[in-house]
Amino acid sequence: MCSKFKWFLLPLLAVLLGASEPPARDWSDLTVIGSELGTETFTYSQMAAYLRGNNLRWPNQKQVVLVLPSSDHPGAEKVASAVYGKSVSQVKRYWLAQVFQGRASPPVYKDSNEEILKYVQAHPGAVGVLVSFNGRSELSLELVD
Amino acid sequence: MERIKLHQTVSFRFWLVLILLSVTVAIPVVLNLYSYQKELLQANTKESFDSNSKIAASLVRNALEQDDFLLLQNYLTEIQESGEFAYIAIVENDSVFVCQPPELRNEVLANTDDFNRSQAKVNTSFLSGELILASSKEVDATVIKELSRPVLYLSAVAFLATLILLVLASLFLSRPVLRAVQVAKALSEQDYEVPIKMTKRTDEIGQLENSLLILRDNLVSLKEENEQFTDRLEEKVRKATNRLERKNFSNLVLLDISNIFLSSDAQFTSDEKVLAAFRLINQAFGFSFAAALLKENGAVVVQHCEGVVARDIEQLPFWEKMAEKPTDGHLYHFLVEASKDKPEGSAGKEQGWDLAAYPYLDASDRVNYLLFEGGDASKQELEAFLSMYLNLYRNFQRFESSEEELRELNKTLEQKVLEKIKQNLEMANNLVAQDKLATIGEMSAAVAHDLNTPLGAIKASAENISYMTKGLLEQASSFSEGESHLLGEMMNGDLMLDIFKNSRQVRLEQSKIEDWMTTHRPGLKDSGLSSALASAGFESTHEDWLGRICDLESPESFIMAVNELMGIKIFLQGIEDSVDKGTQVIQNLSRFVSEDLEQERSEISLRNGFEVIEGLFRHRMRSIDSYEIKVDADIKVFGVEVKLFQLWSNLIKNGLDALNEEGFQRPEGKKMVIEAVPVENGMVDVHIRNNGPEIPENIKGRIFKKFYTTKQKRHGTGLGLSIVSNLVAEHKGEISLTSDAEETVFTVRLPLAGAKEGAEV
Repeated sequence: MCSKFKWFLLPLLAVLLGASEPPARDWSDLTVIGSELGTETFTYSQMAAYLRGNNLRWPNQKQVVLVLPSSDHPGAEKVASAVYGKSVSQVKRYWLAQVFQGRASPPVYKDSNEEILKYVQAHPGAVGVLVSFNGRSELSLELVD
Repeated sequence: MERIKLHQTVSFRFWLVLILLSVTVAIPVVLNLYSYQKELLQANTKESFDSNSKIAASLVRNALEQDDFLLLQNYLTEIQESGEFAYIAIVENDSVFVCQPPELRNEVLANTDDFNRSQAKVNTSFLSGELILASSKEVDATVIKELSRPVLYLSAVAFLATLILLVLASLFLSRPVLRAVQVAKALSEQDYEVPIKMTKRTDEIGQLENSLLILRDNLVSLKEENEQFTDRLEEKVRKATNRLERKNFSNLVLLDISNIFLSSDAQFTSDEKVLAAFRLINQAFGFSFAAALLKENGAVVVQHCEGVVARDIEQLPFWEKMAEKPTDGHLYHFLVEASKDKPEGSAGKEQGWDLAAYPYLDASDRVNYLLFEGGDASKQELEAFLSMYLNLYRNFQRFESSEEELRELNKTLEQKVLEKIKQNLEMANNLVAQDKLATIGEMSAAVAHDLNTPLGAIKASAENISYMTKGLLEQASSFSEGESHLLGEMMNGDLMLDIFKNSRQVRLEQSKIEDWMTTHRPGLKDSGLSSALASAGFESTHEDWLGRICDLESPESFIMAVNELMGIKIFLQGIEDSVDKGTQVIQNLSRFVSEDLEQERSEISLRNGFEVIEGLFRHRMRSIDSYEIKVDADIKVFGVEVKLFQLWSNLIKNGLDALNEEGFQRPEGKKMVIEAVPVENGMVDVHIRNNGPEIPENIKGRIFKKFYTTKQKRHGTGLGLSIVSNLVAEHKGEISLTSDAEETVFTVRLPLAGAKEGAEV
């Protein structure tokens, strides 16, 4: 009985946690860039859903390609915390589970903002998260509440 | 020709047995093969799983350690698409972190025997656990089963292919053999037109076909040679036959023995008579032969007469030539030129025979058959020679059977002879009676005529008497007593006057009566009374009657009455004579048919007999020109008158028939003459001659035989001369016949009456 109860509660808890939105304040040092997504304005929750792999297609039906800072990137912890509300390791476990289960395509990890920017520019439908980016990019997306 | 079915062939049965053996062996082999294949697949699957799972685990772990989730995703995709793994999972702290597919998450922890599992350690910055790869045993079994199934299919296909190949191989072998058998059978039945299909094979079948082809060609060649040989043989036979006919081979009888001597007869082998006959023939022809004969294809086979010919044949001249006597029982081809080897003087030598003899020896070196061929000697010569053997043998056989029959017949011969004699006598009597009736039938016309003539005369006389009586009564009514008395005397007396004299005779008598009157009654000389008296038939010699008539008062009326009276007397005498003639005819007929007279012997006048017969056959005598009897009245024979009547009547009737034969003519006239001439030893020869057609020489000897006749059916019974011959014999006489173009004479020699006691009948 205990075992059956445990397997019943855990999925329910996971659903509840997954459905919760990340806090908006954590995105202040982050710059989201994208290439040919069909629109340049997204809400935070929309973008969060894209970055978590919940939506696989952009409004223009291009495939969503996530480009995230690797664990060697200084802003990796920031992105993990702001976008996923998890640590870097947990985000990896998250994406491992997603890949195993075939739910989403895994993100492309880059070690620097420049690499992320360069990759997004080169790949239409790619969306990247820059941390502490001081420059100006035509690919920057406007996130609104 | 009976056709052999495929299933009847030896090769087909051989292959059928082979197929059955193959089935019994192949099925266990296939099943074992299938099982082995299955186990092999299972082993391979396990090994493959271990290997593949290690590789997959290594790739997944490497991708995880590099945090390369794209690469991981590719690996996972490949792992899933390979289908080799039932699930892939990562277990961390005894719990399943991830599992693909998720529904087998419980199975990961349960770890049942339904799956093969492979585990590998995974240790990264974000994960530390075990990577588990598993494959489903059920799926493996299905796969193995699927993989093993072709083995069964292949085995079945291979087996069926093998069967088909075997059948084809059977056909490949059987059909040529069948064709060869068909050809061989056809050849054995002398069908040389049978086609031989050549398959251009170089194996045994091809050699067999080639051999059959050669065999057929050889047979055809042999057949043609045989036909040519037969033609030559027939030509020889024909020539020899012609030669034999020219040689006038009169002591031999040519017989076709082809249908006669087809069976052997061993019964006579112990018959001494047959053996003696053979020896006689052997002496004649210089050979020793046997008895039972066969004839085949123009040759004559003489079957050995065991125990006889075997001994005699060694004495044959050609026997010495048989230096090499075969012991294998086959035909020993030994040619004998008989014309050379036969001793001088033998019949065969004289006839120039050229015989070929083929002694046939059995295993015991004994001659069982002699096969003869005509060299120059023809088949007919051989047949004639051998048929003489057989005729002799058969004659002996018939003689033996005849002897037995003769003994049986002798037992009852006497009784049979007596019965036969009795039958013959009865038959002879019947035949004589029949002939007599036939003669009576022929005489009936004459009898009727002989009776009609006197009856007619009687009738005419009666009418004349009636008329004359009337005149007489008229004359007599005026007569005086004296005239009536004188008329009565003349009526009752013997006086007969010829009232039918001619005028010359009347004038002569008148003259004589006038001379008498000149002397005795001169006053009446010129009264004319002489003329009345002469016309009434009176003559000068009737002086007493003339005187008494002249003295009457009215002699003229009296003379007329006398004339009437004489006419009545003459006609009465005619009636009496006619009655006598009719009576005589009836008496003659009675004498001819009377049975009472058949045994009555007496002296018979030959002339009377012939005259009676002349009267009876008078109507037939008119058909010839002359019938003459030159027989003295005093020639008499002793015999039965009725039978002699029949004898003469048959001979005369036979002569009349010959003279009246249709189309026969004699310019000088048809004649029959009966002569009786006494000869020495108290005999008389009665010749009955006629100048009818000549009796041919070849039938003279048969003419006295019963039922032999040259006449047409309505005229002849074939009994007449046969009866004549018997009747002559009964009268101790002889009959002979001579006939030429001029005349035919039957001469009957009979004993004269009184010469001895007469012929005893």
